[in-house]
Amino acid sequence: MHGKDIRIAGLRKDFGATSVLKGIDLDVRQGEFLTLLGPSGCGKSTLLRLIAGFDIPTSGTLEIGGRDVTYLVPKQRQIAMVFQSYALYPHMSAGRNISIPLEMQRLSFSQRLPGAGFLSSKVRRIREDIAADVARVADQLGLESLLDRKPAQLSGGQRQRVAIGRALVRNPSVFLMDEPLSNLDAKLRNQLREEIADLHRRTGITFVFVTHDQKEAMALSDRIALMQGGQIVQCGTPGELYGAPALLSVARFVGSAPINEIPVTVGNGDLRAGQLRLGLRAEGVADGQFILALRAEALEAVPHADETGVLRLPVAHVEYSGSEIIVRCGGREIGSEWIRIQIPAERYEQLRNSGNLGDTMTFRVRAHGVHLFALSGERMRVSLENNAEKNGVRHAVSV
Amino acid sequence: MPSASSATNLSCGRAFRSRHEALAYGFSAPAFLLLCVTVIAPIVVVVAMSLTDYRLGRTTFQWIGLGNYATMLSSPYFWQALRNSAVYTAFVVPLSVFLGLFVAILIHHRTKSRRFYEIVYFLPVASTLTAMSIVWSYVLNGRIGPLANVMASIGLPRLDFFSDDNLALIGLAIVGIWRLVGYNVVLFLAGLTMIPEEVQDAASLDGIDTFWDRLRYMIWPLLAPTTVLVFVLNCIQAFQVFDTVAVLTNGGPRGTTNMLLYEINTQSFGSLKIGYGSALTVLYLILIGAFSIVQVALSDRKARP
Repeated sequence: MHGKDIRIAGLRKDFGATSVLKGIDLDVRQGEFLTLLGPSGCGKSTLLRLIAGFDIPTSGTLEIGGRDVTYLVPKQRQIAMVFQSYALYPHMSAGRNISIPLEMQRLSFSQRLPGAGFLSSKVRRIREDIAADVARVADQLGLESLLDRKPAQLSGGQRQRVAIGRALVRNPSVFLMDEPLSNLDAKLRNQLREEIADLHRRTGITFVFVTHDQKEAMALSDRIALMQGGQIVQCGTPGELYGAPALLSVARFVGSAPINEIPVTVGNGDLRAGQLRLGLRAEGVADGQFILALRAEALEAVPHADETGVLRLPVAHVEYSGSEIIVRCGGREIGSEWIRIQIPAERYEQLRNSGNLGDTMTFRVRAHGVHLFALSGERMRVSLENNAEKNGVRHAVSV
Repeated sequence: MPSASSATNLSCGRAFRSRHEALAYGFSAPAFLLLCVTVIAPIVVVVAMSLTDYRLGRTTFQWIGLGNYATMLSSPYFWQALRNSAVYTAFVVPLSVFLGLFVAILIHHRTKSRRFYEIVYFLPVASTLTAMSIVWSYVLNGRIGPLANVMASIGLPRLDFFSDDNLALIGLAIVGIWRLVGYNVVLFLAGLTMIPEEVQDAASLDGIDTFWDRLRYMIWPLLAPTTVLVFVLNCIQAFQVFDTVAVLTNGGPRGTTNMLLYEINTQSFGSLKIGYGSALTVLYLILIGAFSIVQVALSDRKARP
């Protein structure tokens, strides 16, 4: 483990009159895989560039391994970075791309002059060490046979591996990655994602990964810092972000299927969507208007609509994705444009065959995966209870 | 009947294609005609006239074969002009390329003042060289020129560039460099903006961050195609030098600044020997063409991975 921790305090960055980062406080732990997640323009890449040292913050401090690096040049920060466009040197072979950081680090200007190796045995020895280090990294990444090729002769995935090799060869204590997978096709992306996860586990380096793809973030990270509008709105494990989003905007951003939103009123703790009782109770919440956010899997398809808390909506579209099926229903009568319901494929078949799912679909709301937000978008700290689940009455699946 | 209909389709397609082709030729015709009238025809005429003894103003001429070329090769004035052009080019081009690159790198990372410097360096290119030559004749004048005054004030001899056999060519070269540097700066700046920002960031992370290292490992190799282009364009422009010679020295003193293009002008329109002048022009065209072929060959090689 030679990863180092990063402490970011009160970091601000203004470009002219526009403020891109509005006070970032973030501690990245030693050897952690932290992802900066957010939509484009949220400031995540700017934050990464400040950590790398390509830009100087307007105010605030940045420490890596207890050393203040706020104003140090990039090469003195013991960091490495992989860029979205790979940023390989197009005129150098893959091997030279990997060795150049070591040449710059270990050889002085005069030692790098052509012919220095003939005159000095010391230079020869250093060059041999560098070649050995390059070979070691190339072996790790499976690049041995590609070292003589120019970047233009490599595929996207191979270029990305060379870029990782160039970063890795210097033994950095922090590894920065700026959307490294977004230029690759889907299959390769999954493969490289696993390789990055393995690399992190094997090296114990602290990783700071930037992406706008929540799926990628969830799959890789120990923790995710979700950024919106130049601020970190929530920082936590993927489970925390998914299971307890602090803001409605967080709930919207995290999760593959778009989250369902229904305007609800609370009266005496009972939740109603328009005139419909949802069968959910929110104890201790003052009466008023709220927004209920429901994950697609929090809606449970049931055969009949004859109980309270069971909704019937018209089916608009059915989307197959292998084991799961997402049914999109028109939700106008409960005040939302679409309601998406995720059900297992076999359950879907059962309901269809028994004639309970066709033009319309009936379902009820479970308490898990449901979040109540104030109209301002903040999460209400309350645990929702489902009447049916509480009373121990489960719907028997009658087919 | 499917076969008949497909046959009709086919003939329709053929008719359509031939009409399409005719249209394409129609559209390219104006450009082709213009090229013939302004480039190809004059070259043919010049080559033809180089084989005659035609003198400007006469109504008759005789074919004399390669006689003009023989005269040219035995003329000391021609060889002196060719040598002067070569020396001038060898002096002006490398300095202009290096200075242009140097200035472009310095300007490139200025954010606020970049526009200002671009304008300052481009002004010589935009200005009229004939007018600027007169300014230079004052600057480099040995009696009233500011340069001579400065040199005299620190105890150095007053140099009078354009009346000294050894200095006249250098004086012209200074003016030539002054003009070409601005031109090159603009071309190199365009080349520099083509280097992706992320590659420059990666370089600063990898420790390639001093001026010389950046030049050696990144800018120079990545600007190689631009440099080849700039180099060849500069060679052509240096070979074409005329205005400054005509205004500042008239080829003198004692022919030390007589350049190829000026010699062509003197022979054709001074001595009215159009036939001989045409032979000089043909040689000049061959030289310029050779530069262009070198450039095309080099950039073609670069384009292939």
